[in-house]
Amino acid sequence: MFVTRVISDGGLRWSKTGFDLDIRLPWYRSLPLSTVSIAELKIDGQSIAPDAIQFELNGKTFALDELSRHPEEWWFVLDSAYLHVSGTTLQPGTQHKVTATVGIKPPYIPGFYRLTECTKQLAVV
Amino acid sequence: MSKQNGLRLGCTLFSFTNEYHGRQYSLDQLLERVAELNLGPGVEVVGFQSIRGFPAISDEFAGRFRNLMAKLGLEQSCLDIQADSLIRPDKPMTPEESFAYHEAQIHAAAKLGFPVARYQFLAGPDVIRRLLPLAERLEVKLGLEIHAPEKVNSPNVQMYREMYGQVNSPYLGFIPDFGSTAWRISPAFINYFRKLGLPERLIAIVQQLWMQDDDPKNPHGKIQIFEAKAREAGFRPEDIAECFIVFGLFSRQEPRAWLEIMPQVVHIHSKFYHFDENGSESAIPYEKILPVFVEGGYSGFMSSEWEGHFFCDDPGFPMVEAHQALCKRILGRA
Repeated sequence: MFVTRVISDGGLRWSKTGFDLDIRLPWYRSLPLSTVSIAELKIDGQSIAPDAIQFELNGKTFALDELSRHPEEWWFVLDSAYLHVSGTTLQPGTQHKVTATVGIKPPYIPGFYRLTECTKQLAVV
Repeated sequence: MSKQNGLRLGCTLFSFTNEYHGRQYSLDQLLERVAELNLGPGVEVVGFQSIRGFPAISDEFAGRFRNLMAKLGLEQSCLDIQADSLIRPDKPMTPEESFAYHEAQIHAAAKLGFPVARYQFLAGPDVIRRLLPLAERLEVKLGLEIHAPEKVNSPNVQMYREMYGQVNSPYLGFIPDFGSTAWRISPAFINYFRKLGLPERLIAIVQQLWMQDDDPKNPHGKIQIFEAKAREAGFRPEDIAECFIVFGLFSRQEPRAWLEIMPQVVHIHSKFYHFDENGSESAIPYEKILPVFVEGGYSGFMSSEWEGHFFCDDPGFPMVEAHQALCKRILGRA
Protein backbone atom coordinates (compact mmCIF):
# COMPACT_ATOMS: atom_id res chain seq x y z
CA MET A 1 0.00 0.00 0.00
CA PHE A 2 1.77 3.07 -1.25
CA VAL A 3 0.33 5.34 1.43
CA THR A 4 2.66 3.76 3.99
CA ARG A 5 5.72 3.72 1.74
CA VAL A 6 6.23 7.32 0.62
CA ILE A 7 8.43 8.05 3.64
CA SER A 8 11.03 5.34 4.29
CA ASP A 9 11.30 3.99 7.83
CA GLY A 10 14.44 5.45 9.39
CA GLY A 11 14.46 8.00 6.57
CA LEU A 12 14.70 11.23 8.59
CA ARG A 13 18.34 12.30 8.76
CA TRP A 14 20.26 15.16 10.27
CA SER A 15 22.20 17.39 7.88
CA LYS A 16 24.47 20.38 8.30
CA THR A 17 21.97 22.72 6.69
CA GLY A 18 18.73 21.21 8.01
CA PHE A 19 17.48 17.65 7.41
CA ASP A 20 17.13 15.03 4.70
CA LEU A 21 14.17 12.72 4.03
CA ASP A 22 14.31 9.40 2.18
CA ILE A 23 11.18 9.00 0.02
CA ARG A 24 9.85 6.36 -2.38
CA LEU A 25 7.77 6.50 -5.54
CA PRO A 26 4.14 5.66 -4.68
CA TRP A 27 3.45 3.61 -7.82
CA TYR A 28 4.13 0.09 -9.04
CA ARG A 29 6.47 1.08 -11.90
CA SER A 30 9.20 3.56 -12.69
CA LEU A 31 8.14 7.03 -13.84
CA PRO A 32 9.94 10.00 -15.37
CA LEU A 33 10.37 13.04 -13.09
CA SER A 34 8.17 15.12 -15.41
CA THR A 35 5.17 13.16 -14.07
CA VAL A 36 6.12 13.47 -10.39
CA SER A 37 5.62 16.36 -7.97
CA ILE A 38 6.24 16.97 -4.30
CA ALA A 39 2.90 18.45 -3.31
CA GLU A 40 3.67 19.07 0.34
CA LEU A 41 6.22 18.45 3.08
CA LYS A 42 5.36 19.11 6.71
CA ILE A 43 7.36 18.68 9.88
CA ASP A 44 5.51 18.75 13.21
CA GLY A 45 2.53 20.25 11.41
CA GLN A 46 4.50 23.09 9.79
CA SER A 47 4.66 23.28 5.99
CA ILE A 48 8.13 23.65 4.51
CA ALA A 49 8.39 26.26 1.76
CA PRO A 50 9.05 24.57 -1.62
CA ASP A 51 12.12 26.74 -2.25
CA ALA A 52 13.75 25.36 0.90
CA ILE A 53 13.60 21.83 -0.57
CA GLN A 54 15.98 20.25 -3.07
CA PHE A 55 15.09 16.92 -4.72
CA GLU A 56 17.92 14.42 -5.27
CA LEU A 57 17.64 11.42 -7.58
CA ASN A 58 20.23 9.38 -9.48
CA GLY A 59 22.96 11.57 -7.96
CA LYS A 60 21.47 14.76 -9.42
CA THR A 61 19.75 17.57 -7.56
CA PHE A 62 16.70 19.55 -8.72
CA ALA A 63 14.56 22.39 -7.43
CA LEU A 64 10.97 21.19 -6.90
CA ASP A 65 9.60 23.38 -9.67
CA GLU A 66 12.15 21.92 -12.10
CA LEU A 67 10.89 18.33 -11.89
CA SER A 68 8.27 18.84 -14.59
CA ARG A 69 11.04 19.77 -17.02
CA HIS A 70 12.86 16.42 -16.75
CA PRO A 71 11.12 13.76 -18.85
CA GLU A 72 14.53 12.13 -19.43
CA GLU A 73 15.22 11.50 -15.74
CA TRP A 74 13.66 8.22 -14.60
CA TRP A 75 12.81 7.33 -11.03
CA PHE A 76 13.36 3.56 -10.89
CA VAL A 77 10.70 2.05 -8.69
CA LEU A 78 13.13 0.47 -6.21
CA ASP A 79 15.24 3.59 -5.68
CA SER A 80 14.94 6.21 -2.98
CA ALA A 81 14.91 9.91 -3.75
CA TYR A 82 16.03 12.39 -1.10
CA LEU A 83 14.50 15.67 -0.06
CA HIS A 84 17.20 18.03 1.24
CA VAL A 85 15.65 20.67 3.43
CA SER A 86 17.53 23.77 4.48
CA GLY A 87 16.71 26.22 7.24
CA THR A 88 14.91 23.81 9.59
CA THR A 89 17.35 22.29 12.05
CA LEU A 90 16.52 19.04 13.84
CA GLN A 91 18.56 17.53 16.66
CA PRO A 92 19.73 13.91 16.27
CA GLY A 93 17.65 11.51 18.35
CA THR A 94 14.60 13.79 18.60
CA GLN A 95 11.18 12.58 17.44
CA HIS A 96 9.20 14.38 14.74
CA LYS A 97 5.95 13.93 12.88
CA VAL A 98 6.70 14.09 9.14
CA THR A 99 4.13 14.30 6.34
CA ALA A 100 5.08 14.03 2.68
CA THR A 101 2.61 14.17 -0.19
CA VAL A 102 3.76 12.96 -3.60
CA GLY A 103 1.73 13.58 -6.75
CA ILE A 104 1.99 11.44 -9.88
CA LYS A 105 0.46 11.60 -13.33
CA PRO A 106 0.94 8.12 -14.82
CA PRO A 107 1.77 8.96 -18.46
CA TYR A 108 -0.50 6.25 -19.91
CA ILE A 109 -3.67 7.35 -18.06
CA PRO A 110 -4.95 10.68 -19.44
CA GLY A 111 -6.40 12.98 -16.81
CA PHE A 112 -5.37 10.84 -13.84
CA TYR A 113 -3.58 12.72 -11.06
CA ARG A 114 -2.94 10.82 -7.86
CA LEU A 115 -1.81 12.31 -4.57
CA THR A 116 -0.41 10.00 -1.93
CA GLU A 117 -0.03 11.45 1.55
CA CYS A 118 2.12 9.65 4.11
CA THR A 119 2.65 10.62 7.75
CA LYS A 120 5.19 8.98 10.04
CA GLN A 121 6.62 9.62 13.48
CA LEU A 122 10.37 9.32 13.07
CA ALA A 123 13.53 9.83 15.11
CA VAL A 124 16.29 11.89 13.51
CA VAL A 125 19.29 9.67 12.74
CA MET B 1 10.12 -23.75 -25.55
CA SER B 2 7.41 -26.39 -25.31
CA LYS B 3 4.36 -25.97 -27.49
CA GLN B 4 1.55 -27.11 -25.23
CA ASN B 5 -2.06 -26.53 -26.10
CA GLY B 6 -4.94 -25.27 -24.03
CA LEU B 7 -5.14 -22.82 -21.19
CA ARG B 8 -1.89 -22.76 -19.23
CA LEU B 9 -1.34 -21.21 -15.83
CA GLY B 10 1.22 -18.73 -14.67
CA CYS B 11 1.48 -15.43 -12.90
CA THR B 12 2.60 -11.87 -13.39
CA LEU B 13 5.30 -10.51 -11.10
CA PHE B 14 3.00 -7.49 -10.70
CA SER B 15 1.12 -9.65 -8.17
CA PHE B 16 4.14 -9.35 -5.87
CA THR B 17 4.38 -5.56 -5.97
CA ASN B 18 4.16 -5.40 -2.16
CA GLU B 19 7.14 -7.73 -1.69
CA TYR B 20 9.12 -6.15 -4.51
CA HIS B 21 8.45 -2.46 -3.79
CA GLY B 22 9.17 -3.22 -0.12
CA ARG B 23 12.63 -4.50 -1.20
CA GLN B 24 11.98 -7.92 0.36
CA TYR B 25 12.45 -9.73 -2.96
CA SER B 26 14.63 -8.82 -5.94
CA LEU B 27 13.57 -9.77 -9.47
CA ASP B 28 15.68 -12.95 -9.30
CA GLN B 29 14.31 -13.85 -5.88
CA LEU B 30 10.72 -13.38 -7.11
CA LEU B 31 11.39 -15.78 -9.99
CA GLU B 32 12.98 -18.32 -7.64
CA ARG B 33 10.00 -18.14 -5.28
CA VAL B 34 7.51 -18.46 -8.18
CA ALA B 35 9.28 -21.66 -9.24
CA GLU B 36 9.55 -22.97 -5.69
CA LEU B 37 5.80 -22.49 -5.06
CA ASN B 38 4.96 -23.88 -8.52
CA LEU B 39 3.09 -20.72 -9.58
CA GLY B 40 4.26 -20.93 -13.19
CA PRO B 41 5.19 -22.05 -15.67
CA GLY B 42 4.14 -18.79 -17.35
CA VAL B 43 5.80 -15.62 -16.08
CA GLU B 44 4.70 -12.14 -17.07
CA VAL B 45 6.81 -9.08 -16.35
CA VAL B 46 6.06 -5.34 -16.37
CA GLY B 47 9.09 -3.90 -18.12
CA PHE B 48 9.08 -0.56 -16.31
CA GLN B 49 8.67 -2.32 -12.97
CA SER B 50 11.18 -5.15 -13.03
CA ILE B 51 13.97 -3.83 -15.24
CA ARG B 52 16.18 -0.85 -14.46
CA GLY B 53 16.73 1.31 -17.52
CA PHE B 54 13.87 -0.35 -19.48
CA PRO B 55 13.39 -0.53 -22.43
CA ALA B 56 17.18 -0.67 -22.89
CA ILE B 57 18.20 -4.29 -22.24
CA SER B 58 21.89 -5.14 -21.99
CA ASP B 59 23.16 -8.43 -23.41
CA GLU B 60 24.34 -9.32 -19.94
CA PHE B 61 20.87 -8.77 -18.39
CA ALA B 62 19.08 -10.65 -21.18
CA GLY B 63 21.45 -13.62 -20.86
CA ARG B 64 21.11 -13.77 -17.10
CA PHE B 65 17.30 -13.50 -17.23
CA ARG B 66 16.92 -16.17 -19.91
CA ASN B 67 19.29 -18.53 -18.09
CA LEU B 68 17.53 -18.13 -14.77
CA MET B 69 14.09 -18.67 -16.33
CA ALA B 70 15.30 -21.84 -18.06
CA LYS B 71 17.08 -23.11 -14.96
CA LEU B 72 13.89 -22.64 -12.91
CA GLY B 73 11.67 -24.33 -15.52
CA LEU B 74 9.70 -21.12 -16.10
CA GLU B 75 8.51 -19.75 -19.44
CA GLN B 76 8.24 -16.15 -20.59
CA SER B 77 4.52 -15.53 -21.22
CA CYS B 78 4.04 -11.79 -21.73
CA LEU B 79 6.00 -8.57 -21.35
CA ASP B 80 3.87 -5.57 -20.41
CA ILE B 81 4.83 -2.56 -22.49
CA GLN B 82 3.35 0.89 -22.04
CA ALA B 83 1.96 3.74 -24.09
CA ASP B 84 3.48 6.58 -22.07
CA SER B 85 2.20 9.32 -24.37
CA LEU B 86 2.08 11.85 -21.55
CA ILE B 87 5.70 11.73 -20.38
CA ARG B 88 5.52 15.46 -21.00
CA PRO B 89 2.07 15.99 -19.50
CA ASP B 90 1.39 19.18 -21.47
CA LYS B 91 2.80 17.93 -24.80
CA PRO B 92 1.61 14.44 -25.79
CA MET B 93 3.89 12.31 -27.97
CA THR B 94 3.53 12.58 -31.71
CA PRO B 95 2.68 9.35 -33.57
CA GLU B 96 6.36 9.20 -34.62
CA GLU B 97 7.54 9.42 -31.02
CA SER B 98 4.97 6.87 -29.89
CA PHE B 99 6.06 4.51 -32.67
CA ALA B 100 9.70 4.74 -31.58
CA TYR B 101 8.72 4.35 -27.92
CA HIS B 102 6.84 1.11 -28.68
CA GLU B 103 9.47 -0.13 -31.12
CA ALA B 104 12.14 -0.14 -28.40
CA GLN B 105 9.86 -2.06 -26.03
CA ILE B 106 8.99 -4.70 -28.64
CA HIS B 107 12.72 -5.21 -29.23
CA ALA B 108 13.09 -5.65 -25.46
CA ALA B 109 10.36 -8.34 -25.49
CA ALA B 110 12.13 -10.24 -28.25
CA LYS B 111 15.51 -9.96 -26.59
CA LEU B 112 14.14 -11.37 -23.34
CA GLY B 113 12.27 -14.20 -25.09
CA PHE B 114 8.67 -13.05 -24.56
CA PRO B 115 6.26 -14.30 -27.27
CA VAL B 116 3.63 -11.65 -26.43
CA ALA B 117 3.80 -7.95 -25.58
CA ARG B 118 0.82 -6.37 -23.81
CA TYR B 119 0.10 -2.88 -25.15
CA GLN B 120 -2.33 -0.15 -24.09
CA PHE B 121 -5.15 1.87 -25.70
CA LEU B 122 -3.21 5.09 -25.86
CA ALA B 123 -0.92 3.58 -28.52
CA GLY B 124 -3.68 4.04 -31.10
CA PRO B 125 -4.56 1.67 -33.97
CA ASP B 126 -2.39 3.52 -36.51
CA VAL B 127 0.82 3.18 -34.51
CA ILE B 128 0.10 -0.51 -33.81
CA ARG B 129 -0.61 -1.16 -37.46
CA ARG B 130 2.74 0.37 -38.38
CA LEU B 131 4.47 -1.79 -35.76
CA LEU B 132 3.06 -5.01 -37.19
CA PRO B 133 5.95 -5.74 -39.61
CA LEU B 134 8.39 -5.46 -36.70
CA ALA B 135 6.21 -7.71 -34.52
CA GLU B 136 6.04 -10.30 -37.31
CA ARG B 137 9.77 -10.15 -37.93
CA LEU B 138 10.63 -10.51 -34.22
CA GLU B 139 7.79 -13.01 -33.65
CA VAL B 140 6.27 -11.04 -30.79
CA LYS B 141 2.46 -10.91 -30.74
CA LEU B 142 0.99 -7.55 -29.76
CA GLY B 143 -1.99 -7.83 -27.43
CA LEU B 144 -4.26 -4.93 -26.51
CA GLU B 145 -5.29 -5.22 -22.88
CA ILE B 146 -9.07 -4.92 -22.52
CA HIS B 147 -9.22 -3.47 -19.04
CA ALA B 148 -12.19 -2.01 -17.17
CA PRO B 149 -14.14 0.08 -17.98
CA GLU B 150 -13.51 -1.05 -21.57
CA LYS B 151 -15.39 -4.06 -22.88
CA VAL B 152 -15.40 -6.29 -25.94
CA ASN B 153 -17.73 -3.89 -27.75
CA SER B 154 -16.78 -0.48 -26.41
CA PRO B 155 -15.81 2.17 -28.98
CA ASN B 156 -12.09 2.11 -28.09
CA VAL B 157 -11.96 -1.65 -28.59
CA GLN B 158 -14.01 -1.47 -31.79
CA MET B 159 -11.40 0.82 -33.37
CA TYR B 160 -8.80 -1.90 -32.91
CA ARG B 161 -11.16 -4.68 -33.97
CA GLU B 162 -11.77 -2.86 -37.23
CA MET B 163 -8.06 -2.42 -37.86
CA TYR B 164 -7.40 -6.06 -36.94
CA GLY B 165 -10.10 -7.09 -39.41
CA GLN B 166 -8.32 -5.18 -42.18
CA VAL B 167 -4.81 -6.51 -41.61
CA ASN B 168 -5.80 -10.01 -40.41
CA SER B 169 -2.52 -11.01 -38.76
CA PRO B 170 -2.06 -13.60 -35.99
CA TYR B 171 0.46 -11.16 -34.49
CA LEU B 172 -2.29 -8.77 -33.40
CA GLY B 173 -4.64 -9.77 -30.63
CA PHE B 174 -6.34 -9.01 -27.33
CA ILE B 175 -5.63 -9.60 -23.65
CA PRO B 176 -8.80 -9.79 -21.56
CA ASP B 177 -8.49 -8.46 -18.02
CA PHE B 178 -11.10 -10.12 -15.83
CA GLY B 179 -11.72 -6.93 -13.85
CA SER B 180 -13.96 -5.99 -16.76
CA THR B 181 -16.11 -9.09 -16.11
CA ALA B 182 -16.90 -8.37 -12.46
CA TRP B 183 -20.39 -8.48 -10.96
CA ARG B 184 -19.70 -6.01 -8.16
CA ILE B 185 -16.93 -3.83 -6.73
CA SER B 186 -14.57 -6.06 -4.80
CA PRO B 187 -15.30 -6.07 -1.04
CA ALA B 188 -11.53 -5.52 -0.66
CA PHE B 189 -12.05 -1.92 -1.80
CA ILE B 190 -15.22 -1.37 0.20
CA ASN B 191 -13.37 -2.57 3.32
CA TYR B 192 -10.45 -0.29 2.44
CA PHE B 193 -12.74 2.74 2.02
CA ARG B 194 -14.19 2.03 5.47
CA LYS B 195 -10.72 1.73 6.93
CA LEU B 196 -9.88 5.13 5.45
CA GLY B 197 -12.95 6.49 7.20
CA LEU B 198 -14.86 7.49 4.05
CA PRO B 199 -18.51 8.32 4.82
CA GLU B 200 -20.91 5.37 4.43
CA ARG B 201 -23.23 7.52 2.31
CA LEU B 202 -20.42 8.20 -0.14
CA ILE B 203 -19.59 4.48 -0.33
CA ALA B 204 -23.28 3.83 -0.99
CA ILE B 205 -23.28 6.31 -3.90
CA VAL B 206 -20.22 4.60 -5.39
CA GLN B 207 -21.84 1.19 -5.24
CA GLN B 208 -25.20 2.35 -6.49
CA LEU B 209 -23.73 4.17 -9.47
CA TRP B 210 -21.38 1.32 -10.27
CA MET B 211 -24.36 -1.07 -10.48
CA GLN B 212 -26.13 1.12 -13.06
CA ASP B 213 -25.69 0.22 -16.71
CA ASP B 214 -22.80 1.89 -18.54
CA ASP B 215 -23.36 4.20 -21.44
CA PRO B 216 -22.19 1.81 -24.19
CA LYS B 217 -20.78 4.75 -26.15
CA ASN B 218 -18.80 6.09 -23.21
CA PRO B 219 -17.88 3.53 -20.58
CA HIS B 220 -15.55 6.06 -18.93
CA GLY B 221 -18.46 8.44 -18.27
CA LYS B 222 -19.38 7.09 -14.84
CA ILE B 223 -16.46 8.79 -13.10
CA GLN B 224 -17.76 12.22 -14.08
CA ILE B 225 -21.32 11.33 -13.15
CA PHE B 226 -20.11 10.04 -9.79
CA GLU B 227 -17.95 13.11 -9.16
CA ALA B 228 -20.79 15.51 -9.95
CA LYS B 229 -23.25 13.61 -7.78
CA ALA B 230 -20.85 13.29 -4.85
CA ARG B 231 -19.86 16.96 -4.99
CA GLU B 232 -23.48 18.00 -5.12
CA ALA B 233 -24.04 15.91 -1.98
CA GLY B 234 -21.26 17.91 -0.32
CA PHE B 235 -18.51 15.28 0.13
CA ARG B 236 -14.86 16.33 0.40
CA PRO B 237 -13.00 16.34 -2.93
CA GLU B 238 -10.19 14.16 -1.54
CA ASP B 239 -12.69 11.54 -0.33
CA ILE B 240 -14.40 11.60 -3.71
CA ALA B 241 -11.06 11.25 -5.53
CA GLU B 242 -10.21 8.20 -3.43
CA CYS B 243 -13.20 6.40 -4.94
CA PHE B 244 -12.42 7.03 -8.63
CA ILE B 245 -10.21 4.01 -8.93
CA VAL B 246 -12.99 1.43 -8.62
CA PHE B 247 -14.60 2.73 -11.82
CA GLY B 248 -11.34 1.99 -13.63
CA LEU B 249 -10.76 -1.45 -12.13
CA PHE B 250 -14.17 -3.08 -12.31
CA SER B 251 -16.90 -3.19 -14.90
CA ARG B 252 -19.77 -5.51 -15.66
CA GLN B 253 -19.91 -7.71 -18.71
CA GLU B 254 -21.33 -11.14 -19.42
CA PRO B 255 -18.46 -13.66 -19.30
CA ARG B 256 -19.68 -15.09 -22.61
CA ALA B 257 -18.93 -11.76 -24.29
CA TRP B 258 -15.28 -12.87 -24.53
CA LEU B 259 -16.32 -15.54 -27.07
CA GLU B 260 -16.73 -12.80 -29.65
CA ILE B 261 -12.99 -12.15 -29.75
CA MET B 262 -11.79 -15.57 -28.56
CA PRO B 263 -9.74 -16.44 -31.70
CA GLN B 264 -7.81 -13.20 -31.19
CA VAL B 265 -7.03 -13.70 -27.49
CA VAL B 266 -3.23 -14.02 -27.13
CA HIS B 267 -2.90 -13.88 -23.34
CA ILE B 268 -5.09 -13.40 -20.25
CA HIS B 269 -4.86 -11.17 -17.19
CA SER B 270 -6.63 -13.23 -14.58
CA LYS B 271 -7.27 -10.34 -12.25
CA PHE B 272 -8.40 -11.00 -8.67
CA TYR B 273 -8.61 -9.16 -5.37
CA HIS B 274 -10.28 -11.07 -2.57
CA PHE B 275 -11.79 -14.48 -1.83
CA ASP B 276 -15.00 -15.42 -0.06
CA GLU B 277 -15.20 -18.12 2.63
CA ASN B 278 -15.43 -20.84 -0.06
CA GLY B 279 -12.28 -19.74 -1.84
CA SER B 280 -14.20 -18.14 -4.74
CA GLU B 281 -13.33 -14.65 -5.95
CA SER B 282 -15.74 -12.28 -4.20
CA ALA B 283 -16.49 -10.07 -7.21
CA ILE B 284 -15.26 -11.86 -10.35
CA PRO B 285 -17.19 -15.01 -11.28
CA TYR B 286 -14.37 -17.40 -12.15
CA GLU B 287 -16.76 -20.37 -12.11
CA LYS B 288 -18.51 -18.79 -15.10
CA ILE B 289 -15.52 -17.15 -16.83
CA LEU B 290 -13.03 -20.00 -17.10
CA PRO B 291 -15.43 -22.47 -18.78
CA VAL B 292 -16.01 -19.83 -21.48
CA PHE B 293 -12.30 -19.88 -22.35
CA VAL B 294 -12.25 -23.69 -22.34
CA GLU B 295 -15.35 -23.76 -24.56
CA GLY B 296 -13.82 -21.15 -26.85
CA GLY B 297 -10.69 -23.26 -27.28
CA TYR B 298 -8.29 -20.66 -25.91
CA SER B 299 -4.69 -21.81 -26.10
CA GLY B 300 -2.09 -19.81 -24.25
CA PHE B 301 -1.12 -18.50 -20.85
CA MET B 302 -3.29 -16.99 -18.16
CA SER B 303 -1.47 -14.87 -15.57
CA SER B 304 -2.76 -14.74 -12.01
CA GLU B 305 -2.80 -11.00 -11.37
CA TRP B 306 -3.40 -9.72 -7.84
CA GLU B 307 -3.64 -5.97 -7.36
CA GLY B 308 -3.59 -5.88 -3.58
CA HIS B 309 -0.96 -3.15 -3.27
CA PHE B 310 -3.75 -0.62 -3.82
CA PHE B 311 -5.47 -1.49 -0.55
CA CYS B 312 -3.18 -3.55 1.70
CA ASP B 313 0.38 -4.53 2.58
CA ASP B 314 -0.22 -8.29 2.47
CA PRO B 315 2.22 -10.42 0.51
CA GLY B 316 1.09 -11.57 -2.94
CA PHE B 317 2.43 -15.13 -2.86
CA PRO B 318 -0.32 -16.68 -0.67
CA MET B 319 -2.94 -14.86 -2.75
CA VAL B 320 -1.58 -16.22 -6.04
CA GLU B 321 -1.42 -19.71 -4.52
CA ALA B 322 -5.09 -19.44 -3.50
CA HIS B 323 -6.02 -18.10 -6.94
CA GLN B 324 -4.32 -20.92 -8.77
CA ALA B 325 -5.96 -23.46 -6.44
CA LEU B 326 -9.33 -21.94 -7.38
CA CYS B 327 -8.54 -22.02 -11.11
CA LYS B 328 -7.29 -25.62 -10.94
CA ARG B 329 -10.45 -26.65 -9.11
CA ILE B 330 -12.65 -25.03 -11.77
CA LEU B 331 -10.57 -26.48 -14.60
CA GLY B 332 -10.65 -29.94 -13.02
CA ARG B 333 -6.89 -30.01 -12.51
CA ALA B 334 -6.84 -30.07 -8.71
